[in-house]
Amino acid sequence: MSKDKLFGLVDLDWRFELTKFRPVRALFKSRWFPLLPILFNLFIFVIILLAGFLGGYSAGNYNFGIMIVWILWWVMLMFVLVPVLSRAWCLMCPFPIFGEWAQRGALFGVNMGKLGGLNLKWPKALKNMWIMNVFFLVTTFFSGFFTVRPLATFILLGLIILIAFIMGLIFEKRSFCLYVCPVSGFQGLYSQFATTEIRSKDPQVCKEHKLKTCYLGNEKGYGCPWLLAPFSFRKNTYCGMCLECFKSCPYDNMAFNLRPPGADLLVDDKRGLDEAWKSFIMLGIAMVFFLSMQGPWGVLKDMVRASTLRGYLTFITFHTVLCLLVIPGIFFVFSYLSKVFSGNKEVSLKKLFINFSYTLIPIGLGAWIAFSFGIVLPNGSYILHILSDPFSWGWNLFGTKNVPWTPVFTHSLGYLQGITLLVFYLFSLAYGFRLSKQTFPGLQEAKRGWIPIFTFLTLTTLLFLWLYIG
Amino acid sequence: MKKSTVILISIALVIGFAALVYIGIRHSRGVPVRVEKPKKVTLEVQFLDKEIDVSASVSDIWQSLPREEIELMQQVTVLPWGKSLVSPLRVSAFHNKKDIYFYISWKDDTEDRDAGINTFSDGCAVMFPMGEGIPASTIMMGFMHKSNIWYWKASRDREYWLSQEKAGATDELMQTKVYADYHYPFEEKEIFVVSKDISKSAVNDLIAIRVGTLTPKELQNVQGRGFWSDNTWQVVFKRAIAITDPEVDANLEQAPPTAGQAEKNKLCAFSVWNGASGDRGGRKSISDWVELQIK
Repeated sequence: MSKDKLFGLVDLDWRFELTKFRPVRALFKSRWFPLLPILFNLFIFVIILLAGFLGGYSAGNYNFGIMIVWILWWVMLMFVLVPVLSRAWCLMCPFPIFGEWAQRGALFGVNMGKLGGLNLKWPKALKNMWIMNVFFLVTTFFSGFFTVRPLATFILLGLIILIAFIMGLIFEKRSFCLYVCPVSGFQGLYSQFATTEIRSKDPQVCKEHKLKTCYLGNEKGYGCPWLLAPFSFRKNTYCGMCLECFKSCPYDNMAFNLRPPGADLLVDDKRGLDEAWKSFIMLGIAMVFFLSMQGPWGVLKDMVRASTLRGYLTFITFHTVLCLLVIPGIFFVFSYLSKVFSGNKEVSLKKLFINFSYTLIPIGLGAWIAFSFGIVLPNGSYILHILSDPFSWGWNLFGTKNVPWTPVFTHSLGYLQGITLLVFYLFSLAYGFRLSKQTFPGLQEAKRGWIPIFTFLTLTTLLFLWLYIG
Repeated sequence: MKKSTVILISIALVIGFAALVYIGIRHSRGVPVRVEKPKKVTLEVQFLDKEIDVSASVSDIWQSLPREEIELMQQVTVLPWGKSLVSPLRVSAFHNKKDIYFYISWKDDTEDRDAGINTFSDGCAVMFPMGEGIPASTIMMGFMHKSNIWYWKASRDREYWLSQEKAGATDELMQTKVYADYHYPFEEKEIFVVSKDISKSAVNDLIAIRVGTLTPKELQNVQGRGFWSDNTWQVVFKRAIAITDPEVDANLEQAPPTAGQAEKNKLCAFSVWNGASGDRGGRKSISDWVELQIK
């Protein structure tokens, strides 16, 4: 066992296998799972799309699509699904089901024949997060419409489903999920912080198993749809938790583990500028979303809602420059200072820049969770209304139609946001210094090089604290 | 799967989605509804070389004149909204170059002439828009636009015409003036002017520029009387065509021959209160604009 303990409490190598419980393993090995959650979500998303399409006059707070997607789903993603269950949303996501169905020619069973569609390989130059980064950033240009215009939500979701299906027909397996889906990118990034993981239990078993069925597939399960090699998983970023490897492994050598949060941040595997920029973009979007949605500046709200074309273009320009240039630029300056402070001339600035960018994952996730508190506590009660009347047609399916708008714990909102930011700041510090030690060969260099990054993280947290509760 | 098949499916899906988005955008603020512009009723105001005594019973002249049936609707612009609906209204009009007369008739099962606690008087009114830029719809009381309103109220009608009858009587007791609360024996000792308002006519000649601005005119120019029989109200209005003050009196003179059709035709609107249904104030039935073709 390692002696490296997070906050001196939990060994970073600590794992607790949840699939050692037979019902859990049986569930993971069943072909009904995750098909049933996917079909359930497909049903929900059909209602969401219909509500978005038929939304008409209904305001955002009384529209099923907007409430479920931007209040319930988004908050669930940020509160539970990503920080606890890694990419559990990808496990139950209905968006790629049509493309996958077309590829496999079967919805339930395993088709051992050649996959349908054109089955082309995704271009090598695009095998990274850049498209997802751009797609997600562009999506946020329309954030002023998604929460108030049902049709905008319909168009966004419809577009994602359409692209997922067409890409499923053209490219192999889950190329869309891996390289294009805007939701996939930030989930992959922040799932490195998750408290669960899918890994092989015993590497020796995998090594001796010459026919890598987890990659190639067999009659029990498909080869990894995410084009990964499950036997050598080291971090969560690109594992969509489809559970096919549990089904196809003849030795039950795959495990679903509990682990200390953020364990993947120290895994030096496939780190790159694309992931670094993803963390900058997420940080910038959290900032801009707060300013435009929860801040007191009406002029910004008008800009985001495109009250005037000039204002809207100003917002897009400011938002893009902030996310793609300003935040990375400032971080670059602190990275350069880190190199100067460390006195080390061997470690490249690029490596330093990339490695330290992973310190932004905990505070970025913390900022999003804190932001989500500001969404769900004031607005969550609307969900009870729209569950009973999803199309604003006057239905009262569950007798909750007349539940009035009831903000919950909003008097504690600032405290919750502040505590969240501070807790995740501590995680950033905890992993930041470890990353410094990983980056610089000497301990003294690591300590000196850590100072500018520590300063950056502290200033960033103070900025968010000022924004959210200042 | 063939490449051409994938391309065909993709194109079909993209076109389908684009069509959905197009329909969605078209309908995103509700389903487009084709609204037929309602045809305005035109009321012919014929020249008739006759004079009517409005205090007497309803003249037989009205039977010979063309009569327009006008649909009314509840007033729903300003609270309190109308609850009951009186419709239709039958209207006739004529002029003798000196005076102009309007005849209004509608079905009403009860004759409500008392205004008291939870009892409301029947009534009707004619509104004439004044000046330029007349609003497209009648709405209420001119709606930011000056209007002259002739307001006949059954309770006032009884009060006024009773006082007229008493004034003509030889009996001294009968000559006592009648007030709003005409059973009150100390009326003469009252100091508040409002309690001594003696109607100069059964019709209140008013001006208004929007809700809340209803004001009786200094000079009351309109006479009228209403009769209820056979579950029907028949009310006749009379006013001199020549106006005393163009600022507050509706101009009902015949337009010169050179004027265009739009200028020739004046506009008016009607409203009715059914006291038995709780109509009072804004709670009433109203018509859209009616064109007056003064010949």
